[in-house]
Amino acid sequence: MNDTATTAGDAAATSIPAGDGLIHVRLLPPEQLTLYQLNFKYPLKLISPAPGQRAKSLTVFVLSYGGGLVGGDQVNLRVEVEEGAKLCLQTQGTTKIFKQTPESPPTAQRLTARIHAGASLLLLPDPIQPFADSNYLQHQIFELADTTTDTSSLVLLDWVTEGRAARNEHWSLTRFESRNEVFATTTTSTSNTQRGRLLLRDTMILDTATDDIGETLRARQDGQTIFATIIIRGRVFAQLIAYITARYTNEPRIGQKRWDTDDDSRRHSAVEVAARRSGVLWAASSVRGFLLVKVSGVEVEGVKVFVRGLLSEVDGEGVPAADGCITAAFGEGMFRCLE
Amino acid sequence: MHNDLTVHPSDNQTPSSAGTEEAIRDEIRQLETQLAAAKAKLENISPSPDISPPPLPPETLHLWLLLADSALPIGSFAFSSSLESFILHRSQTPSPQTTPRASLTRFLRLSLLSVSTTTIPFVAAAFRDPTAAALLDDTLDASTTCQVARRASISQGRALCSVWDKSFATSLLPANNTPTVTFYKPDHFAVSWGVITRRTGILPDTPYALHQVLFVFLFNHVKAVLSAAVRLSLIGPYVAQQILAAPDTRAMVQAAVERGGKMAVEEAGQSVPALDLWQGRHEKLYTRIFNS
Repeated sequence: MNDTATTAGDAAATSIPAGDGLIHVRLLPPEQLTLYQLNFKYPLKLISPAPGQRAKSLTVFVLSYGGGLVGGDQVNLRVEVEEGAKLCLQTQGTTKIFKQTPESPPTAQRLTARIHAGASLLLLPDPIQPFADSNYLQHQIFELADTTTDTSSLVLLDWVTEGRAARNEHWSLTRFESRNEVFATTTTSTSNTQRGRLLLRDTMILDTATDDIGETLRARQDGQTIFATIIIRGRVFAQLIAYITARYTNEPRIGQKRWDTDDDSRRHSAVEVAARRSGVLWAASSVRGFLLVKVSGVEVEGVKVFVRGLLSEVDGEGVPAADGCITAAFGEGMFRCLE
Repeated sequence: MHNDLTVHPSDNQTPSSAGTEEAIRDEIRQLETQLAAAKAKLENISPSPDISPPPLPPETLHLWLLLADSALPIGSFAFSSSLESFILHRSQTPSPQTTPRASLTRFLRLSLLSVSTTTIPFVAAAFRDPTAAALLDDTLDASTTCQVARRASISQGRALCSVWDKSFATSLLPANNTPTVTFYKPDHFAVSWGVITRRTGILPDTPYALHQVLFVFLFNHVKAVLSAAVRLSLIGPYVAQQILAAPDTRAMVQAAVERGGKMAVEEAGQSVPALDLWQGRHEKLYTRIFNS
């Protein structure tokens, strides 16, 4: 982490409610990316390494004091990425969700991000790690200003692990809900921009209250220790979307044949064999202008390698593409949370 | 828990208290007999409407027989709701303990849980307010993020609307004196099920009617999965009927009705994430019989 990190926002933010934060990125002429506003209040902490002169994007680390969130913590982050600006949100280590105490409400993290025309947002955090008896609600809303020519671009990764496996936590949480919603914006007659049509809503609900169906949450997760969702949209990421779509089209078929040993129309690549060995399952869907990827796996590390491979557009041998879409648009260091 | 009537072990040892206990028990029996007699008297004077469910009028029975018929031309036989993919993913990691029947009943449990939290809220909302159908349809479209599930839902939803246009609108409605109105025809199965059951004019906007709407929708889902299981040779037709007739199955459907019926569409979501993977990967099967 750079020592000249911007943390001045903390002092200026004494009047905002606990857990609130604001990141506002602006592109000043000719090509200078600036943090127009950066505010936050405990337990939320935002750190932005000072960007270089020719930085293609700004990075902000979204952190919490103590490296996790306890019962009742409410984080409320608002993000504004103005025209021409690029912002990458990352974390430093998994977001740990501690157990809920009897008197505390659920832990909640809310994010509302508006992506203007010609702006892009990368949200590439580490996975959420819900501990035993935790109760967590995550609600992320993305507002895209330009959906006609698709210049508001977004890559979001949302993933959750089974907990602390070393402490024999395997989906031992009480409740976990993660909701990702993408809206278009509309401009009213008074030229106020407001939230418009719902474009996509992807929700995962893990709830031990439904264990009464005769199968526990742990069993329902079917041996998978991690679930990841990737949502991609926008012109900036057209090459990435094409890459992932092609990979899914060429994905080895499933069926009676043993695909890794039987004679098939082609040899399977090292990347496909590695994914297979670490129990990665994945599916990609093109829906309503988005590419939506679901990944699960029996080991966290294998899924990390796989997701990093997808986002860095690796070839069959696992070498990232030299002209990878994310690195080309945002610069180096975007995949820290995937390493 | 503190209770004045609790008999302490020490009290029990004295013979006199044992006699008192017997007397109290006698009194309770006597009072219970009196209570039952009084209730029966009341029942004879005014049968209470809230104990027994309302009777099923013949036109309602007629509607349910039409909609629960496996010959209803909406093509449900073409979809396995990802059972086919689930079974093929299983067979890659064979475990000798699991019989096909056990796999199937497990799948049914998971599938019903998933449908109850992703789809049922939309059926219920469309039935309660059929005028909101267009918005509900668009919201469900935005919420169905798996393209295989989406194709299955749209195919059956449009087919149900065709049945309405080509059959119900000209025969079921005049028979029940329901005026024909034009309304938005939803694409998605869940929304069209809610809208069409309501637009027949046969069912009132009551919780009891809504319960039937959801129950038949979910029971049809179970039937479609079981019919797929028979064609996948997991079970035979007699076992399929055994499962369909089992009280456990009824209880599972009932629980799914109750769970999904009280969820708002904004709260809907996938409660069995593994199903998303199986469903999405259905297109990756070497050979497949079904479209989902």
